Amino acid sequence: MTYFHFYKLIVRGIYLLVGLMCIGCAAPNVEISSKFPEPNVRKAPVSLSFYLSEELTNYTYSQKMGKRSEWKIDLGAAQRSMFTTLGKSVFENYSLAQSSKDYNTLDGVIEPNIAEIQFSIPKQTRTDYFEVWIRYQFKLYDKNANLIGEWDLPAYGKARAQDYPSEGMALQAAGLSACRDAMAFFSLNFIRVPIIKSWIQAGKPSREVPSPGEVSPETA
Amino acid sequence: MKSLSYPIERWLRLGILLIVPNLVGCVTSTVQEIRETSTSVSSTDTVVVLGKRDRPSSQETELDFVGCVSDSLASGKNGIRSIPESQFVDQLFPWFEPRTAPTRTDNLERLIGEPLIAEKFKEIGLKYLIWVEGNTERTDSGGSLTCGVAPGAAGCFGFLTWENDSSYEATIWDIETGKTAGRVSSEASGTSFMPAIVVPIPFIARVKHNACTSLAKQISSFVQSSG
Repeated sequence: MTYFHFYKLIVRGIYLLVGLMCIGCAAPNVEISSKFPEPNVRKAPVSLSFYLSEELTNYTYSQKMGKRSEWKIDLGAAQRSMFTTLGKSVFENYSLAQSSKDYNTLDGVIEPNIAEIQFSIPKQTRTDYFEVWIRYQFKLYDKNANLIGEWDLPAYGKARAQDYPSEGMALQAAGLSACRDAMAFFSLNFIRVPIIKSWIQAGKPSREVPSPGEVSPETA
Repeated sequence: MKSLSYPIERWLRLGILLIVPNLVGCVTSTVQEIRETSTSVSSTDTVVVLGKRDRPSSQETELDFVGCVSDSLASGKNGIRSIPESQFVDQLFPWFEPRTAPTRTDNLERLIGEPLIAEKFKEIGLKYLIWVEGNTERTDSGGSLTCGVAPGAAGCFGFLTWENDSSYEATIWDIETGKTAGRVSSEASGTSFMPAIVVPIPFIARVKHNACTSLAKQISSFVQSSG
C-alpha cells in the first residue's frame, strides 16, 4: 500500500465519520403514520360520523431543543387511520363526514382536534424515556349541526431510548404509543363520557336549526 | 516480502474470526421459582410473554429481553407455542396497553369475564400469560483506553472493564383459573473487559442473554411440569 492510497483511505474515513456525525446530530423530523389495530369493545348504540378537519389531518408540532435544533413531530398523517378504525369499532353505524350534509342520516357528528401536544427527550428529563403528551378535544354535534357539548381526552406515550436504533425512531414510538393510548381511552370510555351518556339517555335528540352562537363543524 | 506476509495475514484474519466470537467474559446466574398451583401445557396451548409497562420507571424491561424470552421458550425440542408480544397486544387491543393492562389477577378475572376477550383468548389458545419485570444495568466500570491515528500508523493502548447485573422476575398467570400459577426469577452478573495493545480485544460477558436463556429455560420447565 502506497502512501497515496493510505492517505486516500484516511480522507474517506474522515468523510464517513463527519457524515455519520451530521446524521447523528440532525434534529429528527418524525412522522406518525401507522395502521392501528381494531379495538375489541362492545359497540355503543349510536350512529355517528367523525369530521376530520384539515387542521387535524395536517397537524405538525415542532419544539425547540436547545439553541439550534428543532424537533418536529407530524401527527396529522395518523389521524384518518385512527378515527376511521375507532368509528368502525366503537359506533354501531359509522361514516366519515366530508361535509355537514354527509351526516344528516346519522345521529350526529364528532369533531376531534388536537388542543395541545408536548414531548420530552431523555436529555431534558434525565430519564431513559422519550415521552409524548397529547390533549384531544372532541365536539359532539347533533344531526342538524347544533353543538351538544365538548370534552377533553388526555393521552400519553413513552418509549425507552435504548430500545430503538435512533432518537427519531424512539420519538416516533412514543408518539405512536400516545395515539394508541388515545384510541384505547376513547374506545373504553366513550359511553361513560357524561355528555355522551346523557345524550344517549335522552334519546339522542337534535334541534331543528343551529342556535345563534353555535357553529357547524365545517365552519368552526 | 509480499509472498511471506500474505499467508501470515490470511492466517491472522482466520484466527481473529475464530477466536473473537469465543472471547466472552464470565457470567454467573441464579434462578429461583415459587409455585402456587399445578401447571401443564399441551401442543395446542399458547403462552405470551409481556413486559410490565404500566408506569414510567427506570426498571422497565427492555423490549429485546421480552422478545428473547419469548423466542427462547418457542425454540428447541420441547418448545412451547409462544405468540410475540406486539402481535398479542394488537390482537387484544385496547386491553393490554400500558394504561389498560391488568396489573393484578383481580383485573384478569374481570377481563376473562368479558365475552369478547374470552373469545380472543380461546382463538389464540392462550394458557399462560407471563409478565416480565426487571432489567440489566451497568453497575461498575473502570480503566482507560487511548487511541491514536497518524499517517502510516494507528493503534490503541489501555484496559477497560465494566460489570453488568441482570435481575428479572416472571409472574405466570393461568388464564383458565385467573390466578397466579407461580413466579420465576433470574439473576445474573458478569464482568466484561477490553485490553488494548495496538488492537483492542473485547471479552464481553453476555449477562442479559444469559439471564434470558436461564429464565426461559426455567419458565419452560415450570409450565411443563405439573408440580
